[in-house]
Amino acid sequence: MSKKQDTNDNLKGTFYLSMTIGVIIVAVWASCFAIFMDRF
Amino acid sequence: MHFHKYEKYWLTFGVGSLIVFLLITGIMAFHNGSHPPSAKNTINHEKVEQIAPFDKPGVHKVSGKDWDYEVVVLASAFFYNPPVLEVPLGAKVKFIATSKDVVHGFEIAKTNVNMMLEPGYISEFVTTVNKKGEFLIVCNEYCGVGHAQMHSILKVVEPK
Repeated sequence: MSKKQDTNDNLKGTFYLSMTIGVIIVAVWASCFAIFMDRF
Repeated sequence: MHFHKYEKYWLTFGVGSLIVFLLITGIMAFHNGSHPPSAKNTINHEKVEQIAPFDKPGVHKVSGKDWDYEVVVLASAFFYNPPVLEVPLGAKVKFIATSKDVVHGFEIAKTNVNMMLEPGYISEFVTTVNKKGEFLIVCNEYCGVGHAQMHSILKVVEPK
């Protein structure tokens, strides 16, 4: 049980980092799209 | 295959984002008609000044087409003909341009109009000019010693 718990803890940091990078990518994409839509 | 629950979360997020991006791109292309500039038509660049529409560069009002105005531009080292363009606000405009010597650029700064002009090929882009003002047109392909001085102006004015 304690070994399984350790594995979960190890992946938590990876998960947060992956999601943070994902959110940054989505935010940059959305910003570029907004600029594209604003221009003729 | 076993996936950890966190792996499922970020895989779902990643695949979901990709699907959303592709859907938006598809809707923009096939529903809203947003396409990159085309250069599928060819022309004899040595006699381009004698061939329509480049025998009369400028802004021309047209009827019976999907756009209201055709802006015909002939680029050469190191200027655009005509040097100043004026179109009414809200008009749907088709930019038609080519080069008679080397590769030039045709970028209207702070807009989505950005074409490469190649001798022998006609570049086209359709857009609706929905912002009033003066927009700088610049050559963004290095074309020679006068490249930095190669520019023009697009004036978007109130309809008369």
